[in-house]
Amino acid sequence: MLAALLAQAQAEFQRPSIDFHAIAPELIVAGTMCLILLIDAFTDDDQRWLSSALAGVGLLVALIPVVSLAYDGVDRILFDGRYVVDDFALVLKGLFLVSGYIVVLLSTNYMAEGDYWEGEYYQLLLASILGMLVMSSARDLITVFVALELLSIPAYMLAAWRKRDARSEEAGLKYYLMGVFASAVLLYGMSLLYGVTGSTMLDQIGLALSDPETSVPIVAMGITFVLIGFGFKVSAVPFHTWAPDTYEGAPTPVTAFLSVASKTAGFVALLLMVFATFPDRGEIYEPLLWGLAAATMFVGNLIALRQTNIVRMLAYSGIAQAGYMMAPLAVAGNSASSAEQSLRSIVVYLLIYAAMNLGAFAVVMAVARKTRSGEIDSFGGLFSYAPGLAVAMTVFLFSLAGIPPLAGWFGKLGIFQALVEPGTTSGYVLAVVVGVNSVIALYYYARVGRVMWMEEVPDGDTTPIRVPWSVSAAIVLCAAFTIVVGIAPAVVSDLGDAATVLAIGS
Amino acid sequence: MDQYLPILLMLVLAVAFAGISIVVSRVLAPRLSTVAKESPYECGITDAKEAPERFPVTFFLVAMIFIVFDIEVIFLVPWSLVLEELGPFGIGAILIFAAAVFESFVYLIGNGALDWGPVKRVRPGPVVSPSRTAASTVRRVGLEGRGAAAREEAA
Repeated sequence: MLAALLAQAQAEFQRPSIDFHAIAPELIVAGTMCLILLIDAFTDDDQRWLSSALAGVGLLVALIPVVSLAYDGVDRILFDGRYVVDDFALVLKGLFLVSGYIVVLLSTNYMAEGDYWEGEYYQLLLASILGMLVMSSARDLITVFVALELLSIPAYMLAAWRKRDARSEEAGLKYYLMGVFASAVLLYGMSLLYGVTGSTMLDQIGLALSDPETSVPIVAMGITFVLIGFGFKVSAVPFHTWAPDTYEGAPTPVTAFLSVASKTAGFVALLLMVFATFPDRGEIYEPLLWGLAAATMFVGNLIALRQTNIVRMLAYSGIAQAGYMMAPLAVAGNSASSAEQSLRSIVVYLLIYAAMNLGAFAVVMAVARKTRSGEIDSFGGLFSYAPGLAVAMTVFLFSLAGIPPLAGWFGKLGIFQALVEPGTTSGYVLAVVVGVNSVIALYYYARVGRVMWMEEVPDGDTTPIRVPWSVSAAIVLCAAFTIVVGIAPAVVSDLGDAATVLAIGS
Repeated sequence: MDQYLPILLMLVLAVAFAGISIVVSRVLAPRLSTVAKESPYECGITDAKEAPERFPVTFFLVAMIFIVFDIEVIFLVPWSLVLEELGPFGIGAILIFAAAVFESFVYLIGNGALDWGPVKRVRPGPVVSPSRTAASTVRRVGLEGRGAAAREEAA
């Protein structure tokens, strides 16, 4: 029996062809990861800087194949359509690599000065980025899940990186427990989808689900559980409870990483689900996402109003931003053009959000080096002794609020366009909700601005802040992107246009 | 909204199942507790000390070493089935894979996963801690019966 099975396996086996150019970014990141671990094991303490330098170089080198693949312009379909490198994947891979590089820039001094484990930190960071790269190419439920775990498990450890600090341990534990709970819910949903369609490939599932004869109750449960599972990852209300505590307790560079890269990866998964797996089941996912988006915006913004700690405020603001980004999904199922418009608006917003949120965290880190505090009051009079940081922070916060001529307004504009495009009542109502929330959000963003520009320095200490070059490089990069995109939005709208075609299947 | 009816039904079912289980076990289960029943189980031997205890982290590292080899074998078995078809490409691929997996083994050994014995600190903490001052580290003796001024001067 066994011999027969083995013989059959041998007879039918054909060596799959592997397109090494297509998976070069992943290979480079994986190789860098291994190299960092080896170098860390065989060097002394005074050469720890090597690991951060290597991590940064590895991420930049991994960008080269992404660019060359983009110029090549051919959709590459690997492993029978389970792994696809198309423009959508390339735009997001670029985003993950660049935001990962900025997180490395932010981490360099923080990790070196805090007596943390450095080699392992960068190794885990790269592992998480590798998971995100895989996520953007995954077109199969199992690949999606493996990518999700690969990006989540290192992040659980990174959140608890400040060892012997109770708050950091709490951050890691809460994130871990909520994360595995979400994974369980997600797996349940995936198993239902697989059970009803008989395939793990996203396009096959989409094909099977477009048949109206499929059992509605099981499909409804499958879709709902899958969306809830990813809702945890993007911290949508009511699955957001881990986010503020985790963001506050985790080391600040890790918080920046979680709130930008990890959230983006969650959105990539949501986009894959909505646009590739069940695009024809709008009647099920639209009301659900409508409710999630509206609740996320309101709860995030209203609680952010009351925060006194800047990291917690940014955490709740990040929750609200996730609500803006989820809103177009709630009208995506009306027509092909509304699906395209909402996919484009979300990708563009993700690109802009990454720059402005990473920048805000970079400024918070730079200021905390002097004030040793995360309270909003500690920003008092920042303009009088660190005008550059104060201007940069103002740029990032007003961009988050969506004020022209900064990048945030263009992202918001895209979302409004996507919401009103189908001309349905639910779309108009959600657009009004986004508008109302933008006004609420302006209050707490502007409050930080007022503290920085108008109030006195709390302890009268006006010695200038010495910002390490890596952090200032990160701030300059993010600020430049935020301003340039605000003035010339074509920079990202082209990327968004390219990413609207989700190549699926073989 | 009737497309969400199955979810609601599922929710009701889950709550009902959990609730009924708790209530039924409260009502039906006999509660005859003795000291022996409530003490932690230690293979039949009377427990000598508190059961919850912190294990040395080396135990977990040994478990990790097991996982390293486990993963290696899981991938080696299917590879060995198609070894001939893969040819030199397969040999090269599995060598790279083995190197990547064994690297974590090297890392574990390098970090003392197999060093049993007295715990050594791998990385020293900061040499000077701000909490260490002359008042906190030097034990003053012979101050009994002397004036408050002398005591302050000593501190």
